[in-house]
Amino acid sequence: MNTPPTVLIVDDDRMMAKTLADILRLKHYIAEIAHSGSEALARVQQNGFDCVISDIKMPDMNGVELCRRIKQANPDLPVILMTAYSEETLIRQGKTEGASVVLTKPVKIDVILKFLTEFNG
Amino acid sequence: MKKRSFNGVQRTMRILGKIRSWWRRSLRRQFLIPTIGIVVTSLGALGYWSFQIGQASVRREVYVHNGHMAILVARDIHAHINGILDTIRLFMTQTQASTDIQSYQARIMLELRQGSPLTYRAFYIFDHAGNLTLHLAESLEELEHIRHLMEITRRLPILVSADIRTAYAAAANGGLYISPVTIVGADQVPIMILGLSISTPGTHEHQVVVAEVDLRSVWRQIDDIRMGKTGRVFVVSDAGIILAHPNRRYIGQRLTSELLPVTQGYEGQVEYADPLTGRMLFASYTPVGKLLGWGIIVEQAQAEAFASINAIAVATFRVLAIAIVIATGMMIVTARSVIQPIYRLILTTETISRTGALTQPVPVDHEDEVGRLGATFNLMLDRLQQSQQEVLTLNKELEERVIERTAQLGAANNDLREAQEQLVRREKLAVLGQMAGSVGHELRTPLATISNAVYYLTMVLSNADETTREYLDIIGSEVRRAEKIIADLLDFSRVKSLNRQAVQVADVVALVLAKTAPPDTIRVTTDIPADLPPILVDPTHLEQVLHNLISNACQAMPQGGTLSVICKQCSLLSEYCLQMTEHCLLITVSDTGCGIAPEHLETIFEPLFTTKPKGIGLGLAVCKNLVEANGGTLGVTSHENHGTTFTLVFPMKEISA
Repeated sequence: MNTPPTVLIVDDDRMMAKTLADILRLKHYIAEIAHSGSEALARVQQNGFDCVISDIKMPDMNGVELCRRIKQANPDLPVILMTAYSEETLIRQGKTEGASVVLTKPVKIDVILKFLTEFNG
Repeated sequence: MKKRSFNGVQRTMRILGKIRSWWRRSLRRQFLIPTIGIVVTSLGALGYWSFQIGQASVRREVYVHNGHMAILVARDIHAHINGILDTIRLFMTQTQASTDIQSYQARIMLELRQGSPLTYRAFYIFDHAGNLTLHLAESLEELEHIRHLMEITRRLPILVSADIRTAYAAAANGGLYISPVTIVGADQVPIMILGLSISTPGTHEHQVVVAEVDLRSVWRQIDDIRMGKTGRVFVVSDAGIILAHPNRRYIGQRLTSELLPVTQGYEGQVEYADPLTGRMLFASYTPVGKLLGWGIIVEQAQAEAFASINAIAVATFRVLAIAIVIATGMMIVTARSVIQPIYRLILTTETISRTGALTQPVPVDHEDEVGRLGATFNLMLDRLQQSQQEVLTLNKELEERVIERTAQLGAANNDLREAQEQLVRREKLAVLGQMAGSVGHELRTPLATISNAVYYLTMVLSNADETTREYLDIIGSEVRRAEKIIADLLDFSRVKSLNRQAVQVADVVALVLAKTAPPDTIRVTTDIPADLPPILVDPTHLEQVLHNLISNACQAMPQGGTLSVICKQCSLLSEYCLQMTEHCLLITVSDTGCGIAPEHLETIFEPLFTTKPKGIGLGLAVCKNLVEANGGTLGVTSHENHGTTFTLVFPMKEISA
């Protein structure tokens, strides 16, 4: 049996991160949580994940910047960005920085699950 | 006294002033009155003068004529008296030659009386000694008596009257005696006593004849003389007693003082009033002779003398009156011809000053000074009318310009107000949008967390009891509703980027209808021509708008109905696209629902307006914003209880570009 895929969830909103992580764990993913961009970057360097799901709007480093940094080191690591602002500039930036997909909130769990399945497929 | 005279002067001055102002008030008076005055005075003076001359001439003629007559009569009377004297002398001569004196006497008497009957009342002959030798009475019957007397006188000295004696005494000296005339008896017979001394031929003796002469023979001399009806001749004695007159009443009367000069031997003429009748008479008088001292007076009534001249005067007066009337008439006509144009001029100026109408010219039918005045006035009137017309035209233009500018100003004002309202709305929307955006965003994260939690719980509690699962569903659906509201808010607040592209409306409508999925109670009809050209809009915007409109339509028909979506091209200048210069595309979304109250139609596109029990009233405001952002317009018509129609109009010119 394969080891379950590991997913890093990055969100400064702790409740949001926790609920999403719990749902993913229920779905047999190994979900870890980082509450800031820098923390997430450190965790990615340290552990290596199968996928990163990040909010865009965060206090220290926004999701797009995070995505750029991650892609510098790990170009193949899929990154899913989420934003409450369905603003095209951020979405466009995210896509240019190599994000696999940019989802607008409210993000449906099923959509995330579908993408995760796709990445690990 | 002084004061009163001063008052009198004042009053006179006042009256004079009134007359002067009355005089100056009318040209006709100034013209006519002096003219008529001159005509009347001159013609009147001429008439009066002619009348005076005529009267004088008539008077002179009458005097001359009557003077002649008087002279002729005087001669006759003189001759008559001389005739009597001659007769007496002849008688005496014959008497002296007679032998049979008595028969001779009788014969002579007869002869005398045949020639001039009743000339002698008595006849006395005295001899040289003063004895009465013969006395003749005046009638034949008396003759017998005288004869008898003669018989007596031969013997007895006869008694003779004092007058006879005076006459005898006067004549006895060889002269002629003529007594004053006396009037005797009831018949007023004038009697004159003549005394003559006649010498007997061949002797120195002389006889004296005294005759009492009856002067009625003089009456006969003048009785028949008539000049006209009133002309007559009468004789007056030297004593001023009328002795002969055709009217016997006058005999014995004293002559009026005016005529007395005739008794003193003067001749002349005089105008005097008849003492008996009082009427005016012309009299010419002349003395008969120094011997007698009588006078002849020829008189004629002034009235008769002047009858002809009076008739002429009356005729002249009539002619004069007619002349004055004609002259006055001519003057009036002349005055009219002068004054009438002036009067018309006055009337015209009065009319103009009263009504201001300059279009009525003065009629000019003369070429004289007044005519020129009228023509000049008309010229002035023309100029005045021209300038008035110009002023009117200018005024009118000014007025039109003012109206035009006012309308422009009103339109500009309207535009400004609309712009202001739009600005206010935009401001309101902007503020609202900012707030909605931040609130919505902040709510979104907790909602997402709740949503995640529900998802987790639903998965974990898949075997839980039914009520728990039901409640989890309730939480989930309510979260979705909240998310929907937040999505609307964010849609409204966010300035979405415009990504316009050619869009087939039919595709969008089909997509939206599929997404919205109206309930089965609603019949959906679409009428979209297949050859409809695409329009240039953002497809997501159009989709959102149509989705909103169709959802609203479905909600308006809870009991079911018909939803129809119709697309068509509309021509230029339709009521929906007055400002469009090209063809437009019309999309109508109609329902047969409850309709919108008229008072709500105005505010239906305002943000936060809603008639739904649930909803915050941003849907239509968002629609309108989106449509306008795509260059189109969104309108609505509605009939309560019959349904509502939303109309989208998009210009098509940009597609061809």
